[in-house]
Amino acid sequence: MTSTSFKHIGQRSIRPDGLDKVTGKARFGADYYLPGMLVGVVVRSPHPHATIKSIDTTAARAISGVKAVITAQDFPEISHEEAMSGESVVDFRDLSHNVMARDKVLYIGHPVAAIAATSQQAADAAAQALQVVYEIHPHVLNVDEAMASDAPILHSDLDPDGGEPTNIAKRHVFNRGDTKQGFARADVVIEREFTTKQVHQGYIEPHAVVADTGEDGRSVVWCSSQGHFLVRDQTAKVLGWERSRLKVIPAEIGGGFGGKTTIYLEPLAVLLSAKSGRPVKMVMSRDEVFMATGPGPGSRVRVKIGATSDGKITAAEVWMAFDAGAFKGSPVGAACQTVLAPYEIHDVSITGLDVVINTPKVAAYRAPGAPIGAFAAESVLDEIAEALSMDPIDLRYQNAVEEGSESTYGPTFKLIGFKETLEAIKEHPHYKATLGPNQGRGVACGFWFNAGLGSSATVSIHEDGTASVLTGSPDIGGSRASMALMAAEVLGIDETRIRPSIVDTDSIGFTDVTGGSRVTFATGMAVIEACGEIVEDLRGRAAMIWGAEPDDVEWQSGQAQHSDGSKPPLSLAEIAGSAAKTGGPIAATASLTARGVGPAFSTQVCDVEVDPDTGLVDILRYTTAQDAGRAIHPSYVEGQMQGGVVQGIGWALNEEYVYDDSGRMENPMFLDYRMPVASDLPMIDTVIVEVPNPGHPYGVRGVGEVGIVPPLAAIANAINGATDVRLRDLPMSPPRVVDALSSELNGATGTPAG
Amino acid sequence: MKTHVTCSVNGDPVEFLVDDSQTLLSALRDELKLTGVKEGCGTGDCGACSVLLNGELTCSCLVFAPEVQNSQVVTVEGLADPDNLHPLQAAFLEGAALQCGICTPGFLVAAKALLDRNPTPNEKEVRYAIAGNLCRCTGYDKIVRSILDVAADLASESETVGE
Amino acid sequence: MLSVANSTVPRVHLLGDLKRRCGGRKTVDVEAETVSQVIAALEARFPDVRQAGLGHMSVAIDGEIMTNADYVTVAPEAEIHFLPALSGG
Repeated sequence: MTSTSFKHIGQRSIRPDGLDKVTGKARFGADYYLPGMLVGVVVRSPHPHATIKSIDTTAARAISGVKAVITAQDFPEISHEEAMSGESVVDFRDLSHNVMARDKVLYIGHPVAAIAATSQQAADAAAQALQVVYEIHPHVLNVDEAMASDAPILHSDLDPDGGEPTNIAKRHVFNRGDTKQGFARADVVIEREFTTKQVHQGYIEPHAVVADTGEDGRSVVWCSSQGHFLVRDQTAKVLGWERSRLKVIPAEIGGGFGGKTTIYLEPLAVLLSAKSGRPVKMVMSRDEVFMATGPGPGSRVRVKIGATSDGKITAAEVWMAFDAGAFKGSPVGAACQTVLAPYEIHDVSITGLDVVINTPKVAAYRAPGAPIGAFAAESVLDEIAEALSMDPIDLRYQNAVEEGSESTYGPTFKLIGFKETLEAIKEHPHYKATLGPNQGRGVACGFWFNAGLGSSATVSIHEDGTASVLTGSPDIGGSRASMALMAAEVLGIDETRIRPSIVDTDSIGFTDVTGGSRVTFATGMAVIEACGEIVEDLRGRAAMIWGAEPDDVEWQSGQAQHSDGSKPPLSLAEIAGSAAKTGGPIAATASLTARGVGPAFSTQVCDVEVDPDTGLVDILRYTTAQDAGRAIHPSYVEGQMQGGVVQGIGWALNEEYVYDDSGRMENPMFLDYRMPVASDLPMIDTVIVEVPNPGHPYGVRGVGEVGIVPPLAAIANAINGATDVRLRDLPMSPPRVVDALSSELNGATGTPAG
Repeated sequence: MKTHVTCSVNGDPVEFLVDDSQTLLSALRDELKLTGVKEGCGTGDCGACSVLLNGELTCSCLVFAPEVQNSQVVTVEGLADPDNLHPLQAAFLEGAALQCGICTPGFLVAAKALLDRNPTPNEKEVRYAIAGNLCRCTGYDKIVRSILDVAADLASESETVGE
Repeated sequence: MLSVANSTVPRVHLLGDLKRRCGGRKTVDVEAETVSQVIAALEARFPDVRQAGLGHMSVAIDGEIMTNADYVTVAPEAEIHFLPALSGG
């Protein structure tokens, strides 16, 4: 399983976009300035739940320099329509109402108007002058409040059980086998309850857009997103425009993690530009990012797992309630399917509730839903291992899925590398290292599906033998380098002779979002296919030059070779140099729906030291093993693994949305929303496992997401190792740890030591 | 009423007009179009807007533009000389120390500030020196390694010179 | 055309809501050559399935999860699962 048979794949090449990024030349969403550009601002609701009685824009419009004011009245009312958009089902009516509140505001920060003016000062003054009359309603801020019998109801049309409207938008149920019988066979049964808070994706680049509408009514939009086709299509839908009226040019994107797979500012900027006839730039402030863009959900989860004394899991029951924020659509369905997916369990009952609350609509966040489920399930498994005095990796290995295993969510696994990740951690020196006082070690595993979806690529060979590779997949983590390496592998030329670019919605075929860990897999597949067509073309041209048959021509090491060796080889550059004589320009396009998705597994081990006085948890050492299928560019595979782990560490230890009673987020800034900084962390050791995905020409699986799944439980398990106390409520911040340790001392809670 | 500011940016004399409430970050980006200086938070918490102000590591979002009268400002755009990348820039490329790249300018400036005053930092010193800079993509591992690589090169160069 | 003689046809496995809509059956065998024909056959036999919105769900054919798979061919011995569409970060 080494990459030795490849010449380019597996090399740690310099990323093609790197030079611009280390010199400050790369242009991100906020880096575009157009002549005559206006400043756009959003007026946001100060109430978490209210009916909009009236909006008077007269005074705002009267302020000097104000060029346009828009409210929901300027958008078409669209009916409920659920459709695949990106990777998930989107209800366009909800999307429209989230972009601009129509009748009700559902969270503090919900847009009620937008203003474009010649200066920030004028725009801010107009926002102050806008008169909105609200009728205030009671609000709910978590799933418990939202599901209470007397809870205020956010939407009048959510009734999954066919009765009175509720705040439960959807109930997912997955039952297999008979859990009663399964638990009856168990020697140990452990049932626990867990809670997690909303967390933000925390990308460093706030949302930003520039829109410029021409005299012909067509708009050009520059913005950073995880999918400019999604931006085009969703914006068109919300505005009631034809898609071809919009051209979206992808800026460099400063992080997304799922949070930039939807729209917020784009339709506002386009409409303000259309109304004012001027370019309009809108950039969110950091507190707007926190208060009005997608966090990941908060949750309450119960997990019950039974096992025999020799460690065979016999049954599991899971109940999960996820908040969706203001509109339906939390990732609880995905959590239901992933929560027990690493294990072969025949008697399973899983229920998931999607619950609306008066906070920002949640957005996708790296393996959406899966970390929350894994936090609960992997914590309970750890307790079972403890109760059975088993090594936690041995327990997992004994129940681990492999090729041919039936998954808890239904289908049978093809070739997967889960057991290999368990072996990698068990054999790692980290797992055998000794621990000191107040130190503990925790293990946890994670699963993620990965995605295929639609991708396009256009490859052109230039006369001098260099090439361009165009795709429609925004590059968040170095994917241009991977595209160049895969193209180089097929074409047989050096990757430095290939320029990969991400081009606008008018310049390449439709491409789904950069999400679901899909770009290297799916867009890579399109690049490989287009390059394959180019090679066929080049063979034909060599045959023409030689007066031979294409079948007599082999393509090796970037050159055409006659199968009987009777002709000196023709290099790609030589063939390209005479392209005009052999049929004209050399280019190929591939557009495809990528099939053959290979799921990803990760096993992680973490050592912590807990300060019993302050409750501070110090991450001493961390090692992650993940099945990448094939690492096209190992450095960026490692980077994804490390980044996922560290986001998980933040989620586990410090990050949370804190709301006051009035529904206002109390910590909408990085000082108080505490993401990990360099001094909080050790190096994150990586072991790339390569069990090639049979569904991809080079064996690629996605690597972006699964790394965030295990850390929450790995750290909780390590804290238990250090303190004999199990924490089941995130984040495990110093006050919570101190509380848990002191209640353990008082004998109030906690489990018997194993 | 705008204020006329004269200062040096990346070694070049510059002048610009700003409102008194405008930050140095805004002056650099909106007036001088040095958009390598990024805004991540506007509150001095993320370090994406880091510059060297008279040699000191500074969040340009926390400085009012009129305050930099007659000062020396260095941004990421001023790190490389015309023919060569700064060793930190080269190391970041070689070491894959960036993913999305939005925080990279701030990290490079912070790392330069560190090496300017301590050319031989250990890992802990590096981690504390860049603790004011947020990166959400990398987990900092490859950033720290790249800075340590440059420090190691500096140390071996000075040894060579010493011999 | 399917050979009816050997009576091997795609088998749809049902969990949760879909199982309820199909009268509690764990599996249903359907004569179909594409995913859209599978859906049509299920809906014809169990009208309650229409409200399940199978067209918006992902489908797993022999373990491989796909979206937009309406015209994907299903082999006579195929094992089929319908899954809620997912979002990814």
